[in-house]
Amino acid sequence: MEDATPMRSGHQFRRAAPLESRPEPAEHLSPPAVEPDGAPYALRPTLVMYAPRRGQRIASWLAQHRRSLVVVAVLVVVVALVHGVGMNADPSPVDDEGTYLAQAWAEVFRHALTPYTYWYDHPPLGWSLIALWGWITHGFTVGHSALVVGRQVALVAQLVSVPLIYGVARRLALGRGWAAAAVLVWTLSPIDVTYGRMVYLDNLAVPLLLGSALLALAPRRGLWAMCGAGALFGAAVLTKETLLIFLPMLLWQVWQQSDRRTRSFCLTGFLAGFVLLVGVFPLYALLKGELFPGAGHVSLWQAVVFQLGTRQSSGSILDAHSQARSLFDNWRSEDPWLIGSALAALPVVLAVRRLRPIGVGLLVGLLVAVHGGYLPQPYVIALLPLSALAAVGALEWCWRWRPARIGVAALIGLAAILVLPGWARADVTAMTTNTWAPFHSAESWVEANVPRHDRVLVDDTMWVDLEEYGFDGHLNVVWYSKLGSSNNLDPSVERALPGGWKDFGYVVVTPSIRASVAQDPSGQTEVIDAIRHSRVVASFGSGANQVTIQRIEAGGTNQ
Amino acid sequence: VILFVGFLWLSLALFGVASATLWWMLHAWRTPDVMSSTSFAGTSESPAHRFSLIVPARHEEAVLGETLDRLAALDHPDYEVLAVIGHDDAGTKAVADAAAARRPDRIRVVVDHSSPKNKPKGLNTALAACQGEIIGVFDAEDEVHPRLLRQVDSTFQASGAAVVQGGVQLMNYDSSWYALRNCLEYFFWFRSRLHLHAEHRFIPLGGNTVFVRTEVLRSIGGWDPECLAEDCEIGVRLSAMGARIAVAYDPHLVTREETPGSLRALLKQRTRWNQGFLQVLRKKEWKALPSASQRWLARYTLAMPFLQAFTGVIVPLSIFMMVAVKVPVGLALVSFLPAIPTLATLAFEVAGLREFGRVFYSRPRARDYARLILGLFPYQLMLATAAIRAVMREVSGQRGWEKTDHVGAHRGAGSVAESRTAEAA
Repeated sequence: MEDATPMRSGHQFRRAAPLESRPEPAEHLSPPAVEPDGAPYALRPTLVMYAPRRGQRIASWLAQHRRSLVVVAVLVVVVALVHGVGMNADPSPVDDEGTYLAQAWAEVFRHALTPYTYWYDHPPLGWSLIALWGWITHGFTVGHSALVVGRQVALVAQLVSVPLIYGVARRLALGRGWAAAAVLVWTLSPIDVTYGRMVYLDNLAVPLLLGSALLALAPRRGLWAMCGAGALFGAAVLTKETLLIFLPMLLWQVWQQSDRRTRSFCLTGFLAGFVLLVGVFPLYALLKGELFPGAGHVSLWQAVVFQLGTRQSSGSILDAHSQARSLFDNWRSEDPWLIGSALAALPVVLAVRRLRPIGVGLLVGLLVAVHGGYLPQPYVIALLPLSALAAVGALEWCWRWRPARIGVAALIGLAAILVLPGWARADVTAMTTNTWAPFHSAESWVEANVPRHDRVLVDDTMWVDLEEYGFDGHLNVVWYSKLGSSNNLDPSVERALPGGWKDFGYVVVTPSIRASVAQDPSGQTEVIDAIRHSRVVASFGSGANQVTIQRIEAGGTNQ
Repeated sequence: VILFVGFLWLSLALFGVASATLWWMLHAWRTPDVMSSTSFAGTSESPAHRFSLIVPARHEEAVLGETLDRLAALDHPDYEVLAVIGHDDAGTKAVADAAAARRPDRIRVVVDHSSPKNKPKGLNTALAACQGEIIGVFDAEDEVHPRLLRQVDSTFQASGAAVVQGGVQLMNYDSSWYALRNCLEYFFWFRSRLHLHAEHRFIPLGGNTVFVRTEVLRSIGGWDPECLAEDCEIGVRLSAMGARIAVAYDPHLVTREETPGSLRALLKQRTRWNQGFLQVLRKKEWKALPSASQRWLARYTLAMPFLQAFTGVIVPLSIFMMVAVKVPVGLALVSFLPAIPTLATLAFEVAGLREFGRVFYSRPRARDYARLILGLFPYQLMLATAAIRAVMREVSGQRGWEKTDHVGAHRGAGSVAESRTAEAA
C-alpha cells in the first residue's frame, strides 16, 4: 500500500486496470427486455427468474443431496444404537455430571444458575441447554435418576453432530464414503463411546464447534455464514470455555475460505459474531456487580485468575509423573488409535491446504496439553472429531495419489485387523455392562433409611435425586466439593456450616469422592475427616465402582 | 411493569432497525459473486450517445473554474457542459464565462432567473436548453474522472437503462473527525447500499454523477422544484414508473468531492437531506411502486435518517441507564440487544476504512481508526440533531435551501498546479 499522495493528486492513478474481476454483469445490467406494452425503458419483473420459490429451493436441495441424506440417516441410526443402548448403565456417574445436572435442575426449579452461589466456574450455556431439555421433557420429575436427563442430552448432541461432521468432511472435499468413514471412526471409537455418553459440557459444545466449522466452510463464502460461524463458536465457548483453543483453527479457516476482496469483512464478521456473543458473559457479571473482585461477593475476574493461574497445574503430558500424564494414559487406555492416527497424520494434514485448519486445531490442542496448566478430564472430547477428520482426510488425500494407493489400502487393511476387533469388544461392553447398579442401590438405601433431618455429604451426582426424595437441598444434602475443596471459590457453605464435617450425619463415598481425595488430599481435609470418623452402614458393588454409605460418629444432625 | 415492557419493545425495535441497516450497509460484501456484480459492465463499446452535463453553481467562484475546465477535457467525443448560474451571481458568472471562453465548443452558460433560487429550479432551467440524449448532473466542486463518460455510455448501451448512477466519494477523510465518518458514509452508500436498492428496484438517487435519458426526464416534467432532496425525489418517481436503473461502481471512476467545511455546514446539509427525505415520504409517490416489499423498503429508507439517528443516541443512553439504575439482570441484558448490531457496525466500519484505504491508495493511520471509533457517538448526536432540526423546520414550514459551501479540500495542493499545466497545454 502506498502513501496518501496519489489519492490527492487528481487523476494520476497508479493502476489503470479495475481491481475487481467481472465474470458477469449484474442482473440490473442485463439487456433490455422487449416490453409487451411498448413502454420505454420499463422493467419486467425478471427477478422471479433468479429467485425460485422456497419450496422449489428446498426440493432441489433435497434432490441434490439425496445420497448424502441416506448415508447420514444410516449413520444416525448406527450412532444412536451404539451410544444410546446402555447409556444409563455405563460409564459410572462422575461428580462433574452431577454438578451440571444440579445446576440445570436449579435453573428449572429455582430460577437460579446453580443451587449454590454461582462463582463463574464455567459459562452457563451448557447446563442451560440441559435445563431446556429437562423442562421440555419433564425429565426431572419422571421417576428416574436425574443423570438420565443429562445422558439424553449428551446423546442428542452426539446425534446432531453426525450430519454436521459429515458436512464438514464433505466441505473439506472428502468423498461420501470417506466422510461416512470419518463419522464412524469418531463415533465408534471406544473413547468417544465412553466420554461422549457423559454429561460433560464439552459434549454439548462439540456440535456448536462443528456447526461453526461447517459455516466457515460455506461454499458461497457469504459474509453472513462467517458471522454465523463466529456466533456459533461464541456459543461453543459459552458452553465450555476451553474450546477457546480452537479460535486459531477457525480464524485460519475463515481466512482460507474467504475471497480476497471480501476477506477483511469476513474476518470482521466472524470476530464480531464471536466477541459480541461471548461478551454477554462478562456483561452479565458486570450487571450483577461481579466482574471485578470485591468484599462479600464472588467475581468473574477471580474465577478466570483461578482457572488460568492459581488452580493446581496438571503438569505437562511429557512429564511422566504429572497428573496430565496419568490423564493422558487414561485416555490412551480407552483408545490409543484415534488420537494416535491423527498425530501420525498431522504432517500430511498440515501439508494439504484444504485440511490445514484441522491440523492447526489439533496442533494447538496438543501444544496446550504439552504446555502444562490445569488439564481437565474431558479436554480430549473436542479433539476427537477433529482427529477423525484428520486421520481419514489424510488417508483420502494419500489415496488420490495413485502410486500410494497400494500403501493406503494396506494401511487401512492393517488398521481394520488391528483396531476393529478391540473397538467392537469395547463398544459391546459399553452397550451391555451395568456399572450404575451400586449407585442406584446406594440412593435407594439412603431414601429408605436415612432420616430427612440428618445431614448427608454426597458427591454431586446424587444431589438432585436426594433433593427429589425429600432432603432439603439447601443444607441437608451437600456437595462434598463445597467443604473447602480447592476447586471451589464459593465460601457460602463453609460459612453456614462452621463445624465442617462434624455438622454431618452421613457421607456417601463414591468412586468420584475417592478419586478426588486421592488426587488432592490437602484440599479435601474435611471430607477425609468425615470418612475417617465414620463407619460403613451399607456397601454396594465392589472394586472401583463400590459405593458405601457411612455414618459419621462424632457428627450430629442439623437440629 | 408497563415501563419494563415498553423498554423491552423499544430494545427489540432498535435491535431490528440497527440490524437491518447493518445488513444493507454490507450488501456488496455479502458474497464474492455480489461483489463482482457491483462494478460497471465490463464492456467498452464505442460511444453512441450525446451527453449534456449540467453543473448548477451558486457562489462557487472558488472551485467552478477548475471543475468546468476538467469537465471540458473528458474522454468522450460528443457532449456539452452547461453551467447554470443565477442571474444575481455575477462573481460565479464571470468564472463560468471565462471557462466558456476557453472552451466555446464544450461549455455553455445558462442563466437562471427563477426566484427564490434552488438546485432543482436551476436544473429545470438547464433541462430546457439541453441538446444531448442523456443528461448528466455534476456539482460545482466535483472531480470527474476523464474516462467516466465513456464508461457510462457503454453502460447505457449494455443495460438499456433509463438511468445510470455512478459512484461519488468524499475524499478528505483526514481533514477532521466528522470528515472521516462522512467519507465512510459515502463509501458504504455508493459502494454497497445503492446496489441493493437497484436490485430491489427502488432507489433514492444521488445528487450528482447521475445520468438520465433526456426524453424520460422531460416526460416526467423534470425535477420537483420545491423538494429539498430533488435527487432522491426523482429517483423515487423514476422507480415508481418502473424505469430501469443501473448502478455501477468502479473505485477508479468515482466522482470525488469534499465534506462540508465545518460541522455546522454538515449539520445544515444533513438537515436539508433529512427534510427532503421527509418531503418525499409525505409526497407519497412511492405508493405507486408495484410490490409491497418495495413500498416497505421505500418507507423504511425514507424514514431511515430518523430511525438511525435515534438508535445511535438511545443506545448509549440506555447503556448508561442500565449501569446507573438497578434493574433486573435479565431485562438489563435484553436492553443491550441494540448495542450488538451497533458495535458490529463499528467493527465493519473499521474494516470499511481499511478497504477504503486499499481501494483509494491511501493508508489510514492509527489516529484515523481512533477517530472513527471515538467519533461514533458524537456523530450520532449530530445526526440526531439534524433529524430533529429537519422535523422542526418541516413542521414550521421553513423550506428554504441551506446551501453547502465548498473550498476545495478534496483537491490536494498538487492539483491546482496540475490544472494550470493542463490550461497551458
